[in-house]
Amino acid sequence: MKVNNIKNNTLTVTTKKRKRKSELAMYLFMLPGLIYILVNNYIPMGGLFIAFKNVDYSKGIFHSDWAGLENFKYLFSSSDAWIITRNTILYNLAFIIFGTILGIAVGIMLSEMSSKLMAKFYQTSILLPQLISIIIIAYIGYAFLSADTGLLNKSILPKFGIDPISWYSDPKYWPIILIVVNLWKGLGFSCIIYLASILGIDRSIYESAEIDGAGKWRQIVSITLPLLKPTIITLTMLAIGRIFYADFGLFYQVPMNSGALYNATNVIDTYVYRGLLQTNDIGMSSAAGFYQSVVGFVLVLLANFAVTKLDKENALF
Amino acid sequence: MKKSLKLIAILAMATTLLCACSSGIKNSGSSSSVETIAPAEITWAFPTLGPVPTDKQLIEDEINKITTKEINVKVKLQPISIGNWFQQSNLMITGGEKLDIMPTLGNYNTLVSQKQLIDITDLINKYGQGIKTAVGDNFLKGTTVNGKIYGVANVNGKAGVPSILMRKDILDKYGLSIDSVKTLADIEKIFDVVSKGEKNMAMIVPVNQGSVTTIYAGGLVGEPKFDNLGDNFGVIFGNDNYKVVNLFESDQYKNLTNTMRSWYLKGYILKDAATITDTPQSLIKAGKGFAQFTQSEIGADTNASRDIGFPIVQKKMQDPLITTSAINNITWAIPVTCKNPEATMKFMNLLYTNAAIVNLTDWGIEGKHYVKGTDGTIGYPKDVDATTTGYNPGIDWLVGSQFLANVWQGNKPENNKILENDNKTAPISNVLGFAFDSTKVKTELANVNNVYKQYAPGLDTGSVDPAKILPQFISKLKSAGINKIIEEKQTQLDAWAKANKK
Repeated sequence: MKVNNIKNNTLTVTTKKRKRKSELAMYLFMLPGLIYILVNNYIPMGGLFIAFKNVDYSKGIFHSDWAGLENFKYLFSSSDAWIITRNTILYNLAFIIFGTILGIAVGIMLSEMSSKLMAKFYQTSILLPQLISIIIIAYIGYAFLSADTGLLNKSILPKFGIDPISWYSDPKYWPIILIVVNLWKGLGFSCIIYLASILGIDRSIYESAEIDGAGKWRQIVSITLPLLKPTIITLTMLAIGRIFYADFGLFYQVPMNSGALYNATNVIDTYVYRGLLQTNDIGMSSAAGFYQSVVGFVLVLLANFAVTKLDKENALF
Repeated sequence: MKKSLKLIAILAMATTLLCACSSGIKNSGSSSSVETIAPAEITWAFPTLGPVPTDKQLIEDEINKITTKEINVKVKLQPISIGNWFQQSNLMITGGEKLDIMPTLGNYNTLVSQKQLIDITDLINKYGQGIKTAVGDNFLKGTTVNGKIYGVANVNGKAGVPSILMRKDILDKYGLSIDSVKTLADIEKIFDVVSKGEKNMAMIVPVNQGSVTTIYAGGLVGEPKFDNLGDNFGVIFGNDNYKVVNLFESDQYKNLTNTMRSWYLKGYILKDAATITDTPQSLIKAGKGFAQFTQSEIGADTNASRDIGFPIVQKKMQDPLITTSAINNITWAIPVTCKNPEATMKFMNLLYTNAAIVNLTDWGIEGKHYVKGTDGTIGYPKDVDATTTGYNPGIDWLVGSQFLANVWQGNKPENNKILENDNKTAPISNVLGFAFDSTKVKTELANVNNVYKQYAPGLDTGSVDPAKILPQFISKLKSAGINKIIEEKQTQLDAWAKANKK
């Protein structure tokens, strides 16, 4: 299967070569990524059947008994089913909306910076959190929020005469904390993509706009944003496809796995992890994964359908 | 259309870049030495407290000298740092890697019900006579599931009870003694005095994340004691009946959470107790804490003193009751990945009968990693300590029969005798040998586990108000299906009692 696909790829590459030599390099660049996605994302799909199995190690996975829909039941039977679904979707929506707005804003700011050196500096420092392990980020958070020794409780709140808050046992602060941490961590990556698209826009458009007397703001609204639309739509669509997946590290590590916060921090992924940590049932965990990907797939189709209705040119497929 | 495709191409490239960063260190495959004559080769996995010891290979060579001679088996040691133990051992089994013998740490029931372990009943009869004598019929019963044995309990002090550990230097400073302590109220009296003098120190630190008390291990709620039947979801109070009840609805649990709350409000419990992941040893070592609970037999104080560096004293808080979970908490078992069960069982038998192998695994090589003192206990040689030794896996409680191992200095030289005697004299739970098969209620169990993890840490560390939260906890447990689990447990227990003519 893998070999076949590589052949297919080379085939497409050769036909393209005749038409446009310049694109060859681009497709070669794509190849490792495609192979990776094939190996890592497509081949394991064969394992989806585990969701319908009662795994029995003595018989082996393939010969285990079928379980029907039994493995899916726990996702819907609990009183928390609503909370975890709501949390997962609302957080991801917030991440998509704020992440996109902030990503575009910062991308535009970076592109307008006249000093190349400073632009590089900001870009690197914005990207840095993306490269830090979530465990370390959790402890950076802890340095701020710890009840006894945290920066907020010890140094900042007393200055304003506010009593220390036990951050890790009060869920009401966590929607904001989690969104801030996620934006801080993810901003670097999304703004780079927007920045790259902006830099790809033909400068002469801006020049002629300037001659016609358009100010910076006018240029952004009438040139940059419309030309960014395809990028925004594609990125958003991809994000919608993953709206049912939560960033496990963010929701498990950053709140320090504190039970008192579950109402605000429990998402599908952490729920599955906590529920199955003891029983270690791979059938049930696959069921959760199966459910998430089916819903994600349906949502992508719906979103794409909506885009087709609004603006056919920019739909994904 | 075109543009979006291009963008996907960019993203695909970006994926490759990110992957390149994340594919870090992987274990290079096992280099197996090929031998022409055929001693069977088995892989032996076990956890180590702290990092994997550097002198592992020396120990392996020494052990192989004995095993090739005695049973013609070569053993490959696979120590795994305890933090990775569950994930890595589980991956080895599901991935079908070579793994022949390993301990189960609290997950015996799970592994059995998922059929990850092979039935070793006949093998024990054939090659494991030494195991039978060392473990004894009573404790073998503790790991028997539906008439079959899938693992053998390690031999150590099984009569562990909830105990309190305190810093002796501080007790002395205020002229107090741990000997008078019998109840939580007695502990509180000591805290009342010490807390006045030690302003910057929490009186008690959590033993695990989210647990100040040892209720997870079956204790501290006063009389009558209870058998937690494996997981606390459905327990039996007292040792004279077969009625499965909900622990969290009991008055005992309520009282315990009230006490914890009052301690928390008085500032006795570490503020971050519900979330902090530091070990109690490191907290006490850093001067942040004065005491901790622990579930233990005698000797917890010497171990703690060694780890912490302050003198620690111990007081048992309860009389023992040997339950199934105490027995099957740690077992030695053969996973389904084993290709040569006979050879493996022969080796397992040595773990319970051969003092040289046990001492090598526990303490290393005599003269290099430890020396024997005049009273028979052992300690580090000159110029060697806990930080510089090449072998210190901290697993003397784990390997086969602890009673074959040398006793570390600071413990009573007759330590093993006392433990052995306690094992014989401690009362044994009526339902020893009952193992709950949770397959029928796995949906409920997954949900109940989630509720438990949401509420129990707050209550057990006193950081939430039980008057408000405990009723919520109970009603959430019910809607998650705890009653169905209790019913199923009761049904299985009744059937078990009938079959065992109780």
